[in-house]
Amino acid sequence: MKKYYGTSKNITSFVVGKITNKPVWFNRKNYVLLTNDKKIPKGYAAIITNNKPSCSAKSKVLCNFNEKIEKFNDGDIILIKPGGEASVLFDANSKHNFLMITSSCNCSCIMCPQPQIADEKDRTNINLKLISLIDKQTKSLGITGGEPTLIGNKLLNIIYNCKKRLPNTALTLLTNGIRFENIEYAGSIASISHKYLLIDVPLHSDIDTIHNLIAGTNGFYKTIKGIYNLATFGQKIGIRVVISKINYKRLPELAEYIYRNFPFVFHVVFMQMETIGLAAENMEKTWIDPHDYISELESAVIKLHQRDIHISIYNAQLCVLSPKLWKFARKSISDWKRSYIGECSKCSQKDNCGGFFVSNLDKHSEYIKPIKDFV
Amino acid sequence: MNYQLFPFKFETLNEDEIFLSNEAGEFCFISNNEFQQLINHDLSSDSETYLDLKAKQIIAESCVNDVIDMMAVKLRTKKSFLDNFTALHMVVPTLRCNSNCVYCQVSRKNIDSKNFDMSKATAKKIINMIFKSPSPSIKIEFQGGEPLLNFNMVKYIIEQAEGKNTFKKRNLEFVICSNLSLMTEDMLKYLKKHNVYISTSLDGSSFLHNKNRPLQGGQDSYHTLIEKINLCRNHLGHDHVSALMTTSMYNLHNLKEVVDEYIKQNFNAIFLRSLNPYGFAKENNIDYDVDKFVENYKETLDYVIQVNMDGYYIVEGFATILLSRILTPFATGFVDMQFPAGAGIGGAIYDYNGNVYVSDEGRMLASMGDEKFLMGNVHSTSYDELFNSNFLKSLIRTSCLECTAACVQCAFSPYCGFDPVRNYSEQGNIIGHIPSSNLCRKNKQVIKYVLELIKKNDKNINEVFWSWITRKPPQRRSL
Amino acid sequence: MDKITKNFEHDIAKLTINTEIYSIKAIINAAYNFNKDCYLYNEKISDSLIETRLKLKANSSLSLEKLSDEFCNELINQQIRLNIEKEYGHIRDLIFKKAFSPIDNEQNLNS
Repeated sequence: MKKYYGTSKNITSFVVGKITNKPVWFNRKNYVLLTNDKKIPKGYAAIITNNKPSCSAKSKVLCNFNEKIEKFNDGDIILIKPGGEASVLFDANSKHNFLMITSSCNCSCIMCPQPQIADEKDRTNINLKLISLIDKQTKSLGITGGEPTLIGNKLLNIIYNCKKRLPNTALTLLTNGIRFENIEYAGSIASISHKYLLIDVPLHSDIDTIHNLIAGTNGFYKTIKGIYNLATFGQKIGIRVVISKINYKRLPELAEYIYRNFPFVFHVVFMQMETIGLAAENMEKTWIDPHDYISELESAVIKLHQRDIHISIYNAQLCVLSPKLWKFARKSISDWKRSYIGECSKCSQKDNCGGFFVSNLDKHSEYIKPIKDFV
Repeated sequence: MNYQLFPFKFETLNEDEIFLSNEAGEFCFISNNEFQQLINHDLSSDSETYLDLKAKQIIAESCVNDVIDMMAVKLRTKKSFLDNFTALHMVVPTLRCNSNCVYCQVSRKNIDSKNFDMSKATAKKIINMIFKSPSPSIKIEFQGGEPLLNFNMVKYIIEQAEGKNTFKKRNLEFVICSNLSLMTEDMLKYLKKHNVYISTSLDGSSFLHNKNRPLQGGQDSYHTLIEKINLCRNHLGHDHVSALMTTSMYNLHNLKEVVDEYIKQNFNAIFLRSLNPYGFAKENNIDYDVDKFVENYKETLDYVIQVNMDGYYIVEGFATILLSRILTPFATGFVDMQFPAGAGIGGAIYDYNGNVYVSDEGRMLASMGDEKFLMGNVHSTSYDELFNSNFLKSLIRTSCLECTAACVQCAFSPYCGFDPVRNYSEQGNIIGHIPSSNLCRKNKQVIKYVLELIKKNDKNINEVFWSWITRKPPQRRSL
Repeated sequence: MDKITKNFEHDIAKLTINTEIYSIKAIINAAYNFNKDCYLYNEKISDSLIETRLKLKANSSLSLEKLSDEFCNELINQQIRLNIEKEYGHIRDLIFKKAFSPIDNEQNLNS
């Protein structure tokens, strides 16, 4: 998420509020006002200003803000920490928002883009406040981490709160499924009866040893048991496959394995790997140019498509994807994280292409080139 | 190598190839060498074959219990057609018939013999009996004779069933199996109102069809049928009318023409059925050597596949059942060919006089004087005495795969099934000697051929196969 | 050394089978598959030898030599089946037990 900094005044514990650049009259305590006025109004959750700190204000203020306040979107929801860090928890202009549950994880996937941060084991209070502020019209929300299930029953509370406060918002829970090996935990999530909950679980290979090598833990059969337990309770389950040097060869076999063993899945997502976090440290072992697995990916996707399984491809550039698969590629990278490179300006498919992660720009396929118009 | 063998069956396909399968229907083709290595625990863990066998749960390393759990789920899924008990209920409103089909297995009665009509009292008892089945889906299929000769009874049964279903709340479906010669617009209006499906028989072009299925009284069977098919489609919709065919000596060598006829008549499904060697078929000398059927079937299957590749969508029914069993993890309920047999537990037939038989073939045997497969009569036998009888239980017991001498070892058994009535008819006892059974010979050869086609891994053939399995022509699949 | 010695007399093939290599069960299982083409007789000759006699039926399309070759191949297959069954038999029983018994922890869930 986007992070900014400033000097905090009177902020002793975390503040979560919805951004407004105009004064509001009701429920001020839920709002964070952006203003460069000298006069600091009272009653808001916090004020953000580019101005230097002044001694008089008793309100919670974040001064010396390092970004021009005019750039902000009304409706964004922001978290301000006592240390002066402000992060955008909810981007009102984005379709890809998520609740960050914890940064702790019980796996250490060799290509994980998210490094584990020492703090932030449990952000439940932050997330509950966030849920109460999110616009009810929001179409979808992700639940991610680290590994969300590590907070145990608090996760159930969070999902329950989403059901109550955002009844029409579709939730996607990203989890390795290991904790759902416990059938009671699986049953508890089911008993919340959230109408639009999808549980996406990563599966790296059809072979336990390969999956475990990638996941950094002996989780293969636990994950599978977790999937089966969730399926026993009729939960909607998706499978995600991040493609790397270690597992690309058996992609078609993995597709077959998914169909044979989890035919009830709602969808399967194939993802190009990111190159930050642990992935950056393990590039030797994990990086493969997407161009080099074009045929394996095509074979895997066609297999599942023939079997009438819904498929998506995330994070892939169209020029290194077989044209047959373009219809499955989604623009999965949020606007503010997405970028293109020089060659893309001449590409006829640029508007349809999901582009690159800004963070991946230094390491991408060597075969990026504009696609000529087929007229 | 340190690995545990999981249960599998094997069969030599040809000189250098062995076919392996397991109870979940997973399969693998491996060379003789690899097979020897596999069973001697010498198969290298680096080889692709090793990995494939692991993924298919034919071998496992340390996590044996976890793999057992997965296999248990898959086995339960494959046998889930047993979950709900009897779903198919065939009802015979009359034995009277106006057809003269050469292979009739029923000993049809004259169109005037009204004493072969079902009575209302019998119908009521039958409906009660049907709804005693625990199945959440009930399909009532009208057979005969020619059901349209007693359309009043068809209506009565539909209405009784719908009435009963207001309380029972099952997923209720009606099908009428008819030669359609007596179909009228009034009948169709009624059938439309009650969402009844039509199943008819089309055995080929004019010459072939008339040879197999002449009408009594000399009317042109084929032209009447085509006219009525279109009439039915106009009233009920294209999807509500299906056809199947039966292979006799007359059309055995012309199956491709039969397929052409189905295309001409705009059908999108055909079932290339071999002859049941019962009833009039035996008397009329129209049966044929099983190897000849297989030879013609294979050629025709190739032809149907090619027709699909050329752009016309038409599903072959028998191959699709096999393909679903081989390529998907799902169960397919096909009462004629499953382990255990579908006799009684999958489907049953209620004759005009209230007699209940385990299958249509069982009814035919009775009409020829052998009541071996009579379960009882709705007037005098309770549901428990019919469906929980020692007779039915012992019949089913002997048809379980684990109790059959040759089938239990056969690598094609996950895709095949047991037919005690056919065994009895062919060989004189319900267990039979499968290695010399014609039905086994046919099924095995056809299964082998389908596997050969799968093994080719031809992407066009695969595309066709999956369009059949999913019942979706390629362009209609979801994104 | 050949484990099976073959001897042909008129329309009967006599196969002498070493039961230290091929179990009696394997011999009987193999024999079962050939009922269509021939009559079979088994006789114990010594502690470790069985003589299996195959008499060709009139309607068989096979020659006596082909029949006995097929029989020997089938015998190998049957013996392999018995051997691997020893390895995975208990696993199969566990799979069936798990597949068809009710959920054991259903009690725990309801309490």
